[in-house]
Amino acid sequence: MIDKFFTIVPPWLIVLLVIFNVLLGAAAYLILLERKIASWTQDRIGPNRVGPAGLLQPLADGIKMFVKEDFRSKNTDKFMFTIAPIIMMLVVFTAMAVIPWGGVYQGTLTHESPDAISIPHGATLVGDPEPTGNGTEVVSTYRVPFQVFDANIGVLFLIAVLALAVYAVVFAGWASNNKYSFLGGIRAAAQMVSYEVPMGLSIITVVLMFGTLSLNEITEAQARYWFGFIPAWNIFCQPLAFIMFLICLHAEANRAPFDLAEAEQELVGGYHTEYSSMRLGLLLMGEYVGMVITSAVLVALFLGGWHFPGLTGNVDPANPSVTTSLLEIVLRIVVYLVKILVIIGVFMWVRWTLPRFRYDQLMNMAWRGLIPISLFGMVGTAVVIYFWNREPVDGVLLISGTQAIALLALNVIALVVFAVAAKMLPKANPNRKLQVPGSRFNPTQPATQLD
Amino acid sequence: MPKITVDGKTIECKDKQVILEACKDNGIQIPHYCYHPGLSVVASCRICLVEVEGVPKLVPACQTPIRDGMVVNTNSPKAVANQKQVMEYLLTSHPLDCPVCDQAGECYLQDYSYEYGRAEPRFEEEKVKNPKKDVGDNILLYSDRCIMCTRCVRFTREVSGTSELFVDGRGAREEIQIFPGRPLNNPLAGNVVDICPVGALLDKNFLFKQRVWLLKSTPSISPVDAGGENIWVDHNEGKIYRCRPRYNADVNQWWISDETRYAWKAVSDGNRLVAAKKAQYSSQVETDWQKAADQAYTDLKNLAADSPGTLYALLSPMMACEEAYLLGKLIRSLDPQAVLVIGPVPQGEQQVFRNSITGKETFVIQGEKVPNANGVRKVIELLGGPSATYEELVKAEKPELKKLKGGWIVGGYLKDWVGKEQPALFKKGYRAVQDILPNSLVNSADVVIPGAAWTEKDGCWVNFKGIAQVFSKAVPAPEGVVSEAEVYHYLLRLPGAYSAAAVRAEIGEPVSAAKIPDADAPEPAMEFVEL
Amino acid sequence: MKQEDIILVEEPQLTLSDGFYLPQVFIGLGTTMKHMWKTIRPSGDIVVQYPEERREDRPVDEGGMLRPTYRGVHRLNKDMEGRPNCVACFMCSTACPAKCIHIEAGESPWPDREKYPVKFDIDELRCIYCGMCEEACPCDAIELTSIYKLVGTSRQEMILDKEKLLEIYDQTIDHEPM
Repeated sequence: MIDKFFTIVPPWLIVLLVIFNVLLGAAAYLILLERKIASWTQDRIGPNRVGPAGLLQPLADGIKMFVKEDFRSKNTDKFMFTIAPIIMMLVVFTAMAVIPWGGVYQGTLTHESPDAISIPHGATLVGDPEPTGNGTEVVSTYRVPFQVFDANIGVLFLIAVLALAVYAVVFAGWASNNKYSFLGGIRAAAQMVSYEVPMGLSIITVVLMFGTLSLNEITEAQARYWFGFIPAWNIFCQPLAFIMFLICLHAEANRAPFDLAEAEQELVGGYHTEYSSMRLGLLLMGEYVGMVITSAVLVALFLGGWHFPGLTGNVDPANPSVTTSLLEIVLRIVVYLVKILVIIGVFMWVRWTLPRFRYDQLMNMAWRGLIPISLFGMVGTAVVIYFWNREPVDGVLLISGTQAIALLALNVIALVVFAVAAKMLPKANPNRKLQVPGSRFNPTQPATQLD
Repeated sequence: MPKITVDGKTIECKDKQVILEACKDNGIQIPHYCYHPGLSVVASCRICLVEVEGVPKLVPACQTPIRDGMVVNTNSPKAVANQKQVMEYLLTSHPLDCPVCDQAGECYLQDYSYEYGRAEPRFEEEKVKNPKKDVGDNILLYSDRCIMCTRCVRFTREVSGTSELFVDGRGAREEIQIFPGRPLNNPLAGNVVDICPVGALLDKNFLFKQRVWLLKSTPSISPVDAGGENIWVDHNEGKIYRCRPRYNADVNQWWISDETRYAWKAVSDGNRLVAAKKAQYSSQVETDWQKAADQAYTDLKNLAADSPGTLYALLSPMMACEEAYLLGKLIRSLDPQAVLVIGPVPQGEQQVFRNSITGKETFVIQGEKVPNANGVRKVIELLGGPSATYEELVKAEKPELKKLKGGWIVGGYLKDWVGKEQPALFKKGYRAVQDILPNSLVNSADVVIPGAAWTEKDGCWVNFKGIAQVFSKAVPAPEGVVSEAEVYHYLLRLPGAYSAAAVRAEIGEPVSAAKIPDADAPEPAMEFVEL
Repeated sequence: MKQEDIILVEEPQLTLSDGFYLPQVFIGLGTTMKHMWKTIRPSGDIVVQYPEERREDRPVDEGGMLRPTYRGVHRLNKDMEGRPNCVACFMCSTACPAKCIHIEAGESPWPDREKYPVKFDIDELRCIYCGMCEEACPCDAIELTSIYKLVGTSRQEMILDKEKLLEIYDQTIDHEPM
């Protein structure tokens, strides 16, 4: 019955429609959650006027955004000003395509003849269709991922697409023709470029371990157990890479303590100072949806994606992602979303805990802290898995329990080494005077004639 | 040069000085009420008593001449005890109404009470309450605030020579009085308010208007006559509240006439011209000053282009020298043969004041009732070319005056100046008028540009003696009004912003010698003691 | 200042864990989590629920408002005969750091005083409610009341004139004696 339905409406379309709408709604409610968490950390109550416990607040905000005047000031660059929020939304929703939301569903379909086999779009047949004995009828078994697009280069795709988000910020900052917006845009660009590097290195660490770029396969590889009871999630064997990745996500999402691009105290609103109405709404929503998507990537790479003890498929122990139960698929999606919510909670928790970095601290942290550590972790992991054969299952190389312990030990060593090395590194001098020729502080050099 | 030692410090003095003056010149303050350098010395307030070595009793510093090698103690225990006692005695009959007293803030009694007085009074009896008295058209007398220094009485006897005030009664009933039917209405009467060290004599025009500590003072010059009396213009938030005399040994000493004192009222006159106008189809339409000035410039240029020698400029003797100079240059740039006419110079009666006792001349109110006739004449002389007086323009007998078709007329008088005897050119021909108050000429002119009053611009005036004196901008001109000079600066397309000092330097002597008075420089005698 | 008055303060050096950021970050996260828990637990520390609950209704020792010292909207006190106490001495407008008090003085119609305020305007939008005017007043004419609700639809409306200030006196005199 449901299999027939899938031939008409393929699962990827269902995922697309459901997740798209869920994300849009979630973005609105995440703003409410953010405000609630903010007020709780500050011993307040938070919005509680619109609807019960303030639950209709996002609706009111949405109405406000829609009915406000769509204002664009006179000297803005019209094209770029308009396109910036669009890029923002486009990028985050495109990135959504490769997130493996619910693993793989295995279903059977009865066809009238071997020539008339029709399986859902995006599905693959498992084995050959078998005759049922009832005329020319054949039964086919197919597997279909609950994912918009099961790309075998999923991770690469994600990095590529998420890196485009900086364009939205830079365009918005540039097009506004406002020095605060412009500063915000410049800061965002420099920050995102710097933090792409440790983020990429952390991802490579994970990719190295499993030898695949498909997010689906990486998740599946984690849906196992070490020593029979420890979930084989990467956070347990690569905690350092996890933390690096989490920090980079904060920076990529332009959130506190890395929100220099929209530092209210310095830059009014940063790159979105000149935006109002739904254009501002799109930028803000893009930011929150982006947070959801990047958290989803984090969950897929380090927290076992949809995996939760008990949700390991019922078809083949070698392929734990495959299940014949739709209920399990739904439960997996719920588990996935809960994990994302927890990570977003951490995002907000951090935002209301840590003060903003100074710009030089921000750059120091990326180039003197995160990049060396993640590089060390990546090289160490590469060495470990090069000399220690892994068990290949279905094209994916799995990490055994002992290997996991070795990697964990490597992480601890990295931590100790860098803690000691940090003390020995020469101290940065952020307050040194730069000699600007011809400035009033440097009268010995002749002033260069401008214009 | 004699030298004396005051409080262990040796100071140099001039011959025949009194101790108080010598100390003041050297920055040592001795409290005083009755002493005023412009009046005779009575030594009646007794707070300036100092101890002089070799003299058994305290001596009044205001009366005792210095002697070479004299040793003076102004803060010995005896002198301080005397100061405290005098203060306490004065305050027994002085009401505690500083919050409502207009003198508060520039009151000698208040200042010395802080410096030399007791913190708490011991006097518990009822204080003497005297009703306030109306002693003149502009002066009120609050007798209970009076400390009987008799400065005002001496002023009316020795400076104005009119002797309206006298001391009535003796002891605790002593008070300042006027004779019945002879109010204090002489032309210098306002000065008694300035010399009163306390709030006993107050100006009705300033009464309750503003507290003095809120006022800012700008040095200026009297606009009412050729005497060029030096004044302070006291203003706050763009509004003038009063004028006070500014000491100038060569011009007015410590005094000004009441006409000068109240001349500022014309500045805040409600009828002031504030909008530029230009004639259009026999009515005047409002415009901004640049457009009006451009219009006048073009029209006059067209007039002069047909035949030279048809333009004239009426340089008002109310104008600053700089303005007259720039306007002369402007009109000559349009028409090299333009006639420069000096505006009407009204003549009044010259009033001379004499000391009623010695008969010595003390103060003169000049008869020429404009401040800068001298300066404008000098500027016209400097620019050369054809020129005329206002009377000649009225008669229009000179051949070059018969050709005139249009001109630039500047008024700026503090009252209506276009009388019955006006030139025919005021009714026909082209008239670009700059003035501050409306009159028949303004109402019929082709272009009207509102002018700034003297407190609203920088400039210099040359008085009847030929002394060039600078006045500074105290308050902003009304919205949309710029000074005359700025209009000429704009029309002459001169570079940069208008600077009166630069134009003065260009004009040369004697105007270039005039300096902006230093507002911080101590003023002998009239300056209040800084604590 | 003498040489021994100078105290050289050493910049505190980062310890090993400080230099590595993360331990301190976790300590900070703990602090905020503690606050979050304090707020959302069933008997959480909840602030005053303003429109429903007001500080003036609470006892002072439970965080209520101390009316005599509260600095809210001004009032002009009246004497026994209903005349304003003010003698237009300008002390308040001189003391005012925000320069929000505008007085026009005039000769008083009553024999017992010289001056009275013809106009007395306070720009409540410029006012910073510091209470300096109250301190400066020599005749206890201007006082700050405990009224904190001040609403207007225009700037002009927020400039309270003499009549309005005397009206506030009538409103507040019962529970806030002079």
